[in-house]
Amino acid sequence: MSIRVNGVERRFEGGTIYELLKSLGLDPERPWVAVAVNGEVVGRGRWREYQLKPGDVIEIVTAVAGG
Amino acid sequence: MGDELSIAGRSFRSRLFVGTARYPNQHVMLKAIEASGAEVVTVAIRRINLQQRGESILDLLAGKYFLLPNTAGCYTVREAVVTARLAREALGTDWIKLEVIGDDETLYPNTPQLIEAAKQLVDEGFKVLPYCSDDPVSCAILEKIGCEAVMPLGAPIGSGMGILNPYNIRMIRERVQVPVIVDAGVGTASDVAVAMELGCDGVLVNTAIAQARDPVRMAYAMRLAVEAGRQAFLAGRIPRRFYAQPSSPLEGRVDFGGPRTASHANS
Repeated sequence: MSIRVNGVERRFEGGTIYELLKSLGLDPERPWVAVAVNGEVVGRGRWREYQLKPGDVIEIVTAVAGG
Repeated sequence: MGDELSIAGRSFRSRLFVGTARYPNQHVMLKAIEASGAEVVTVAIRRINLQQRGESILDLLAGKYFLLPNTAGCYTVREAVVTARLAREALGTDWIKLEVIGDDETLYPNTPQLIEAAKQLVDEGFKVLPYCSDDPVSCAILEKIGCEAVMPLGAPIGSGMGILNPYNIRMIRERVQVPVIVDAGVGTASDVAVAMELGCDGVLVNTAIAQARDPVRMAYAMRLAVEAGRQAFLAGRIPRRFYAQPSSPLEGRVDFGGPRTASHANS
């Protein structure tokens, strides 16, 4: 299926947020990361159960230098 | 001296807040933050880089400083609210330096959107510290809706022009009860001292430190300026007067028989 991750259209075989992060090469246990799906924040505690759907818009963010 | 800054029930020894952006490199940033004596350090929330993932800035800062995420780069209520929620999730803090920008060139706040976003976030339990214009009325509104501090700009972000409207800053200080932290616009130490002498409770500095020729030294200068300005405010300055007033006593002066008053006619 096709989903949008941080502004880029991607193929994803389906699954949870946890599985998406792993497929992107991101360690889901890594701290200071937050995820929103279609504009709603999904807490870390739900990453293993939250099933992504085709067309979902996912934002994966972290903290960076800022003023 | 027992003169701590208290925001939302939390005390801070340092009244200087520093940003983490625009330093020549991370090493200089860390040295500068250390030299500044700041406890509150701001960060932004951005998309994670899927290509190159090095260590996070938080690996360097977390545990040592009180991290204050911002919503920099947000232009609407929705963007700012979702960014604040992401920040809460990512950093585990309900503090947010709320920015809702109105225009690319001035980076002035969009006040109606800022107030709306602040309302929503206060309702969601956030400790909201809004970056706002130096306008006593909007600051009073932000206080009324439950913001824990107000952060009026001294001048446009990154401009280094100093406290452009000291009278407004003073009015704001007189008209709100919550802490007033000047955010944005300072260029050098004297600007910071001016803000503190006006009675501000703190100052947030980023570019003026990060882009100085020697950021570590400037960070130290800012620390001294915050302390000097604060002490001067607490000490209570003398009123300004148009004419001179001798500091040495007039009584007991020697008399050599000449005229006692200066006169243009004699010269």
